[in-house]
Amino acid sequence: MTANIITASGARNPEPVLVLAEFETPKQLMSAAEKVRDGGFNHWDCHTPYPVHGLDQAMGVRPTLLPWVVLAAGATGCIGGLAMQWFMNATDLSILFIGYPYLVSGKPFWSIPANIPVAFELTILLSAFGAFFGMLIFNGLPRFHRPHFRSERFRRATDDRFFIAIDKRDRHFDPESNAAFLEGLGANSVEVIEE
Amino acid sequence: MAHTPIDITTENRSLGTLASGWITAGALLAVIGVLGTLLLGNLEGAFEDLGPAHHSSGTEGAAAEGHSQGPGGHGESHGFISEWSIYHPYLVSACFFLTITLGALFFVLVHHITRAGWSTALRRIAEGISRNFVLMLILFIPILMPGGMDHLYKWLNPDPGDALIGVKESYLNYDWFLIRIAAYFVIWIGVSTYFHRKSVAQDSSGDESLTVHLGALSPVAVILFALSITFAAFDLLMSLDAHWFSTIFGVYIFAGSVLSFHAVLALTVLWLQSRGRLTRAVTPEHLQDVGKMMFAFTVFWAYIAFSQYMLIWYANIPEETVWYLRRQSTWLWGFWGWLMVLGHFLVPFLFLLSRHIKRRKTTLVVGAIWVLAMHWCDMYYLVMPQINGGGEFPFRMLDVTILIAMGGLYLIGMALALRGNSLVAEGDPKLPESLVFENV
Amino acid sequence: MKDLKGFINPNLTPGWESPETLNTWDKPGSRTPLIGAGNTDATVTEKVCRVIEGPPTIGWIIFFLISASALSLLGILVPYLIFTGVGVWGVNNPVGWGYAIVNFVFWVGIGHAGTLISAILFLFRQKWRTSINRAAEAMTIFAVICAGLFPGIHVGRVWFAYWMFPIPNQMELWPNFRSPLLWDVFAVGTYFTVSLLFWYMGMLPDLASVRDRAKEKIRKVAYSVLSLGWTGSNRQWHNYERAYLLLAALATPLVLSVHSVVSFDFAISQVPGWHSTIFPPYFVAGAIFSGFAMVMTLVVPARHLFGLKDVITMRHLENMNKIIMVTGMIVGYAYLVEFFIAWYSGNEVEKFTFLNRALGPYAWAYWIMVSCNVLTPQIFWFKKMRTNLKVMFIVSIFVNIGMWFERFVIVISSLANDYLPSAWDYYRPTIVDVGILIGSFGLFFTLFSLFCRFLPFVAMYEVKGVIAGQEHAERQEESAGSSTEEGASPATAMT
Repeated sequence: MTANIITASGARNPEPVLVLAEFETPKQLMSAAEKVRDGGFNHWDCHTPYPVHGLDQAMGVRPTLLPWVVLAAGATGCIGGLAMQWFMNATDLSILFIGYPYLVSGKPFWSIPANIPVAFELTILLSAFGAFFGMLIFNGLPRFHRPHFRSERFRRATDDRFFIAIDKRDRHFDPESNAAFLEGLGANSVEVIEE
Repeated sequence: MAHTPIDITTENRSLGTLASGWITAGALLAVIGVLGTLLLGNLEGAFEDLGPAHHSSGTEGAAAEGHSQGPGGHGESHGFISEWSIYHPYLVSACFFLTITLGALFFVLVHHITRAGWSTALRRIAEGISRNFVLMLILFIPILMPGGMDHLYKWLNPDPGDALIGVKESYLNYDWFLIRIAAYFVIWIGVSTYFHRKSVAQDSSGDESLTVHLGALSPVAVILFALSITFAAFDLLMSLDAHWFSTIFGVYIFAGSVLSFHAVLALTVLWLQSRGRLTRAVTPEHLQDVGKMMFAFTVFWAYIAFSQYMLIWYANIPEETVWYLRRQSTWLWGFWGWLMVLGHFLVPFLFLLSRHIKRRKTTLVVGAIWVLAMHWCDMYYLVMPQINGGGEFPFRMLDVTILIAMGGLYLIGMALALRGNSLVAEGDPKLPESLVFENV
Repeated sequence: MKDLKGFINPNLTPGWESPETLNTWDKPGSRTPLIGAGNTDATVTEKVCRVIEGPPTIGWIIFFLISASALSLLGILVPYLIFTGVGVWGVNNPVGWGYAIVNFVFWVGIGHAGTLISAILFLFRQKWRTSINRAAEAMTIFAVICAGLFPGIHVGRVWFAYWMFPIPNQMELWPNFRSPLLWDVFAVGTYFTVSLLFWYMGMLPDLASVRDRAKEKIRKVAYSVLSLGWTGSNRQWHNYERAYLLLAALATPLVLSVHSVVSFDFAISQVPGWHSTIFPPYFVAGAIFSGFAMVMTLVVPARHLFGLKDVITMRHLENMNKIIMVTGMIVGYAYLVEFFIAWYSGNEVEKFTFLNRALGPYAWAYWIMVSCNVLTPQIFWFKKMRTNLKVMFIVSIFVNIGMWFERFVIVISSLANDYLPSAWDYYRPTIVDVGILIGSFGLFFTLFSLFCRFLPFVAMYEVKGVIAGQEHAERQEESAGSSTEEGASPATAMT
């Protein structure tokens, strides 16, 4: 069995950009991933229909920095929320806009308990933005064009098949030897995408 | 990726010689505490006035009240005792340990009702701690004596013309109070003993139907638990000021109970591990979950405490606000309130946020001790500002010595309940699941 | 006792059950698989995607048309209200908060189950949530949309609704941040936004599944855009899972805060029957209670219509019934404590308010509330009833009714008879009130039926993860079988 070559239809000088290997089960994928990791590859990835437990170690993925992004966003929300309420309701400072302290049923202009709910909600809101948009940015989403999508087989990556993809940026990228290597790891099929 | 299950029979899972060590240490603490109480109490004059309180004269108490910064004015009847007595620190300590024991009972019940897996390895320790209700009953007897009650609860001998207490007389009277307290302890002792005994019986028989049986019983037990802890909180702590009321008060005590119990659980397990017990049956995964529960209930406590404060503060109705006013009118009690906000919530919240803190033993111990100390401060905050309308700061060495004495007795109680049986519910069919459990 | 035998040996389950209930039985030492046997990754994708790929069924069309016509009621009555003024409602002098606020609190409450299922049960490692969380989250968002409608139209001059937000305006005035009604704006706004993010993020991998199966061009483009180019790469999953965990951890305090803030609307006031410190947790429990009931109302027919019976199994439904029962009892606890403290406080007005609720002009509403919320769920003590589809559907309807009436009792009875007897009046809704309530149900069901048609009803990737876990556990049980038995044997080597 040799690797299938899929060439982009409009390409002038097609050259290989991606090697895709399909596996049947997560177990096969896991052991293959360990071999690929040990082979010293640096621009490669696994594609699975659901997060496979333990694959992070098998691939050697470093822990994400996302929690720190969320913490920073939350702290901004909390401090920003308190500052906003203080500026708007308790001062007549003029910074871009003008604060307007006004008396409502004799309540103090500034009193922490009454300002906690809004500060809390803004903390959560900004933290959630941090988590969601941070995830998108770290994952490089949205990105609609990917060489993967040229493969018919790859459609099953979101259904019930498991893939390993080696990108052309990888220091060991070499379609032929990569394909042979992946095939040796028990891949169902190996495809090379050219663009 | 799961751990390979350990063979439980190879684990050191009996209290063994540690039991006598705990009993000796407990006895030593109890003796130190009692002697300290007697000596220092004598120095501080705590025993001079153990007869029936003479607050009913009305003039003396009210006059003292009027001079203080407290909210009560001249001649106005108030629903709380304004004189310090030895029963006040006693009640603080007793409630401190009672709430821990209640938390232990809740842990056992909620384990059964949810058919939890992870907590099986820790359940026996919780069951052992929950057996301390018997000790708590003994410790509560001095308070329940008419002399003790008289120094704590104004409603026993209200000021003449106190219509507000008059309205509640059919609920707040000595006989009915005793009957209720007895009922609570019957429930607590009964449920904790039953669940502990059946669990121990399963150790040797491995009878799976016991798990089913306790699971089927737990919803009823939880209902009894919820009602008893609520009304116990109303009776023992809320009625210290018989005029004041708050519907959330039972939930507030519940939150503190579960929080403090998880701290005690962490400390107990880590102590056992440092003495070579349960070193492999209890993994960092379990400790992390205990830490998570501490974190969760720190937040829950803060939520309940804030809800109560916010609603009373904002509505500003005198009959409710007076309770917080008493706790804010002097700088010392005001400081104590900030201690609650920062020490009981913010510090443990930030500290326990990281998973590494929860998984490392030393940091978890620090967190647990901190949480317990804050829980004691919380109990102190509920009881002590009643004295003299919050006008004085009544800290005496007795606060510490009584706590030490009760702590010693509590340790003895734990040793008695845990010795002789395995420290793990080893007949439980869910134990294998618990032993290999890991946080994802 | 029959029940107990069944737990130990599934073969002894009594004959009155359908085979569907089989997976609700557990042997104490093991966990019965959640997802029906014979399901693989491929069948889950197939079953869930089939619902949105095929032509609409007759049942769906009828349901959609009914919902849409109820929605059209909203389209007529809301402009009528805006052009005429809130006088078209039944609000009168003491009762300034009529149906609008009742409906608002009701719908916000319904919106709590989704986040509970997706966030809190996630943190508690309750794997059964995976089959129902998508639908519940969708329901949450639609319920919050319905809820947001009511304060919007209740402000009277709708075109000034933006004054609720801290937007610079020509008067150089800012919102009053000390007002609980403003806290509501922030709480409900944040809740809607975060729920939407959570829901959408959870859907990304499934939208990619739909994209990869799409045949027609339009479909493919639409789902490509929606799924943002998701490829299921493990480096993406890594960030994704962490983001999901963080969002769950954030949504948990959020869901508690939202209904707490709603309860502050009432509880910080001095109106008798409203000012009670237990309101925040009590409202939250009630919200979860009603939300779960609504999920039940929607899921029982949906799993039947869409052929998802072995993905949303009887075990899922039974667990939901248990939560309905627990939260129902927490609500009952709150009723009891409130009643007791109303007496204990010695406050005459407070005492009167509670007696008036039970015995006064609104006693009918009060007893509907008590019987629906506290008594009806008690039937779930019996396993036979917990696993009976008809019973659970009927109970869920009762709970929905009861929880609507709870808000009715709180809002109306306290306002109608407060401190000033000379101002007392009896509140009667008008036809517009009722029409807008029905219209809000129309909006809710229309949105929900559109969701069923165009978006994956079940979180496929999460269910696949559960199936993988089940297989993993089975393998482990086989290999660990010997050591387990040793562990259960009497302790001999105590040291």
